[in-house]
Amino acid sequence: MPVMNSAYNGRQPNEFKVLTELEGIPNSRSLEVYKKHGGYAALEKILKGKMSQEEVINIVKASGLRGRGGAGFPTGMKWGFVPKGEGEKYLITNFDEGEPGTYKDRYIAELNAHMLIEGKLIAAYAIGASKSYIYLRGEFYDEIAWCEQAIKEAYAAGYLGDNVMGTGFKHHMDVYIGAGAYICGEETGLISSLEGKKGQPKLKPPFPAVKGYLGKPTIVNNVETLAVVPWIIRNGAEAYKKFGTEKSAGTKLFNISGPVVRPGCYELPLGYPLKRFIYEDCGGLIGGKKLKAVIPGGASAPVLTAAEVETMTMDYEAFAAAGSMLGSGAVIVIPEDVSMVEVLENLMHFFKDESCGQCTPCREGTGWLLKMSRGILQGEGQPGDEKKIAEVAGKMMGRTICTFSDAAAGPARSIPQKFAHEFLEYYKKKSSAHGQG
Amino acid sequence: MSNQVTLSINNQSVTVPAGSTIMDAAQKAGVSVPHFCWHPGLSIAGVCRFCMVKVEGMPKLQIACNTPASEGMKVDTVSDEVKETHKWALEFHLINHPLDCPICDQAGECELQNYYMKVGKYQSQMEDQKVLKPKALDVGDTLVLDTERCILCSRCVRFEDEVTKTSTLGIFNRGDQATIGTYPDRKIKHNYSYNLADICPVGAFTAKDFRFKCRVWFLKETKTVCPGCSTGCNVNLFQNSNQREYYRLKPRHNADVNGHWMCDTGRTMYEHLNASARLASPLLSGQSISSAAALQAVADAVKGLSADKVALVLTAQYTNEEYAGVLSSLKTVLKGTPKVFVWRDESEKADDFDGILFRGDRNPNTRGMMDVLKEHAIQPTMLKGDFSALAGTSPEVTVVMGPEIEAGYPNLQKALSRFSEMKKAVYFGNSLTDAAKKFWLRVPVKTFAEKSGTFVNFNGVAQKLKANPPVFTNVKAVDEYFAEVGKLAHTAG
Amino acid sequence: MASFFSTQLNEQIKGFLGRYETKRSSILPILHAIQDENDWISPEAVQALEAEHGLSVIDVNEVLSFYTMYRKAPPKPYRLEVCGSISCWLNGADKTISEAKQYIAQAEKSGKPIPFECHKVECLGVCGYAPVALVNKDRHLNVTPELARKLMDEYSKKELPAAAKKCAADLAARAAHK
Repeated sequence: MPVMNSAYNGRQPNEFKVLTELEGIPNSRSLEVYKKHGGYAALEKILKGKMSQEEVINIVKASGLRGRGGAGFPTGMKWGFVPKGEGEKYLITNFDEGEPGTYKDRYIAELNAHMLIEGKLIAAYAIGASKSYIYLRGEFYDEIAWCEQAIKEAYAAGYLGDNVMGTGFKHHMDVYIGAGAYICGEETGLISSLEGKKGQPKLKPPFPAVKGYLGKPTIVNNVETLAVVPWIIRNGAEAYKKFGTEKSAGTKLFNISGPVVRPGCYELPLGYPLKRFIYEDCGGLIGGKKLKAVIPGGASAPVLTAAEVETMTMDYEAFAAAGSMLGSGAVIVIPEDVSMVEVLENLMHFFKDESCGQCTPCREGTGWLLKMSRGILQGEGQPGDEKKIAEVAGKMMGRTICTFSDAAAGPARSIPQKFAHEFLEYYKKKSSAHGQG
Repeated sequence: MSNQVTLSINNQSVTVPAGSTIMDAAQKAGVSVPHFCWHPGLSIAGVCRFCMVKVEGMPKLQIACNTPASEGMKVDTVSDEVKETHKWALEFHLINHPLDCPICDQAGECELQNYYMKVGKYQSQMEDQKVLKPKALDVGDTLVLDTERCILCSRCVRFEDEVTKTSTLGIFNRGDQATIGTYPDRKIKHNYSYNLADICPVGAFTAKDFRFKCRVWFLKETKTVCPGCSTGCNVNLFQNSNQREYYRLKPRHNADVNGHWMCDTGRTMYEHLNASARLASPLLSGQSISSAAALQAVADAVKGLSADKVALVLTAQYTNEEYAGVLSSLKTVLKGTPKVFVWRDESEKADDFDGILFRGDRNPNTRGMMDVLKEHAIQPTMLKGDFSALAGTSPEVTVVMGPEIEAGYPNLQKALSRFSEMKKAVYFGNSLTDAAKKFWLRVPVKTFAEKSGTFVNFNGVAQKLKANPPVFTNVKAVDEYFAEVGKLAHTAG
Repeated sequence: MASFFSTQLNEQIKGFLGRYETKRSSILPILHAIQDENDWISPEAVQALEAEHGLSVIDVNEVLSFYTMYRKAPPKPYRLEVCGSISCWLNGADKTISEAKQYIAQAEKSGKPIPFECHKVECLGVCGYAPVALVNKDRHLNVTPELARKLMDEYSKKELPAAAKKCAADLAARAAHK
């Protein structure tokens, strides 16, 4: 299979390189290249410099790093929830990357999986875990191979094992391969899957930092979150905070999809203007089409209209203020000639297929939302159906074990609300069809 | 730190042990919070999302079953917001439910139906085609499964995993295709299967033994004790009182005895209660006679005998009051204590225990019987496969108080044949077996459902039976008969 | 008694059984391994996991039925799995899927069937290069209807994958047995 080009794609050189430093460098995936660019220096600094666990956690806290998987929870704070002291603890990397529109974590593995492994070692040291897993989605055959290769190299180089870099720190790492279930990207669904079960999210409390994998304290972090940690340790929290905004520190991998001229994975500082990203960095829409809407953070993020995109910046707070979310940084571009009712139906199909089926409102609600939106497309809709979709979606929110139900409700509420007129056209089609008959 | 917390639910204060949930506190306070998946005898699943309550200070509603109760917490279960949430939770449960109540045996005791009447009663908004799933599956000797009626509360799966540890059930597929089931062609095979029908909040699991037999609203329940083994599970016995027909038993919660469950063997304890399974009137040498004549025959037989010429064979299936009554009547008549034997089945392994409830001692009142005998300073002789001790005493009259539950006596026929060979063998019991027919005199007795009295379980817990009117009005309890015999013998003497 | 699994597969299974903290965690990797060798996971394989390796059929079947990558029926030698989720759909995935299915049906009709089946799947996680598709384990990007046809032609000319051959042989043996 062809290895994807770096997503550099003509973007002007700039100063944003934290995760993408190895872009365009030959043989970038090798351990040698990684080391030449400062690889494993952060781990050495921590282990040989005998930094305490608290010191490491404090640096990550000070950097303002927030979880890059979608929820945006402060990473250092999350690590701090793990009970101190003896006892088995686990660190798991969420490499399930299933949120439609998202393909950034695989890009990190394509560049160099050692970034992730070093980040994992640092996190494991900080929380006191001697065992960690990388949970990869099963369809990522190449990415699995890259991670396995890097783990093998890390063992051979003494970065993994019973005596890491001769410092007495013990850490073992393994991969675990999923088998086709979006819900395994939810951290407790992922833990269930790693336990060899259906990937059904677990009831909270207890939270995984206290009782996770096999009932032991467990931290689940996204690939991007962990991969950036070595840079932060090497360069310091202040250097990282120079990128981004006050509440959204650092850079982020943005992945754009839909009909744009230069799709790809771009590292940009948080707070970057969305319009500039779409039109300048990515070259705008194919064929010069006009923009209708943008789903800014993966399929579960509420949709933004073209008008909202005009002034939007890409950070946690700006998206939240607009009623949407940064999510995984997956920007999905919808052109003018695509029906939003069809978009809704496509998204509802996804959520219906991927609901784990555990909680009643989600299991029953996702199927119901699909049936209603499909009905409208098939000309069976009637005025008010779009409101009913939004209402049912609203009743699914905040009432389930995990946030999948809220994710499904994101588009199911925002599309009928922001594009109600497009639904009306389908109802009209129905009445005119009846008129002919 | 205090090990009690006090919170308020709908402004009503309630104190519970630390570590309790809001649901526990609500139960204690007598506040009903609607729920499907929560069951006090099982782990918490938190999947039905029905038991939502408002907790002051928390932005979202919380599920009562998994939210820890804390000091000073203010919980609301009745506000409009909560009610609206309950209504929607119910709607989500109902949209793919077949609503086949008219042909469903659960109707009348279905939690879905009950809650619909309580918090629902609205026109469903769901107009689309429902999801179709397998129906009327044969999942074992005792149960039928309708997966379309199932609301996936997972109570049955947890019961299999946690109580019987048989793990026969799983939930397969995902999303709205998720379906409960066994592995293809494998059946539920354990002695607690009817509990699955009990805990199923809807009509997904129904009991083969009860399907299509009777609508539940015709049944009247009696709170009594299971006579099936020495555990003495607390039960509700269901009778259609118009027909005088018994239909089933269900467990009644008692934390000290049986928790929430009972075994399938216990569930059969209604079968021998109905008229068709019982001896209706006394038989003297095979000829039907009146009770008065039968008792006269007993009185005549024992009259004038010395106590050691009368053998009394007991089984541990009668109440303390019955043993005491029989012994004191006989003592008076005989002016001494008869020879007392205790008959145990030769295959019995009394100390066996299945780890859940069912015990090898298939008699409900071994402890109570031994206590009464002790009070009367009687050292009984055991008859367990070897009957020579009885024959050796050459009694003129042998009175056998036979087992009401014959299933606990697999070698019943053999033993009864031996007893019936004795001179003037009198059998108290309802047995219709061939071996019973050989007795000189047979007298039917009241069953556990028809008498009040005490059983003492294996652990020394004394429990009262509750009497329903007898199926045959002429039939009395064994102690009542002996009181009569005493009078007759006295008069005659 | 002969094992249901090949010697090599049994070794793999044993490796997985000892690799994780609990035996149960090995269910997912074991099912992948069985599928890699047999092309699908038959009920007999599930029962053999219980009989030979002590994994509960309920646990295994729950996992098998929950995850979409496991094939519960014998497949065609090649599976063209096209992502139909939002990004790929925006870039024409539906057309790729319908035309690919048509191509397979036409080949069947013309008496020269190709060893392919085509499915719509949910997001494959490479959304920038939509439509994305897998042919068995090979990922292909920007899969237009034309590319889909080309891929099907190319793979059809190759020697069948080992798993497909084993699957066909197993089914033939089973039919002969009946």
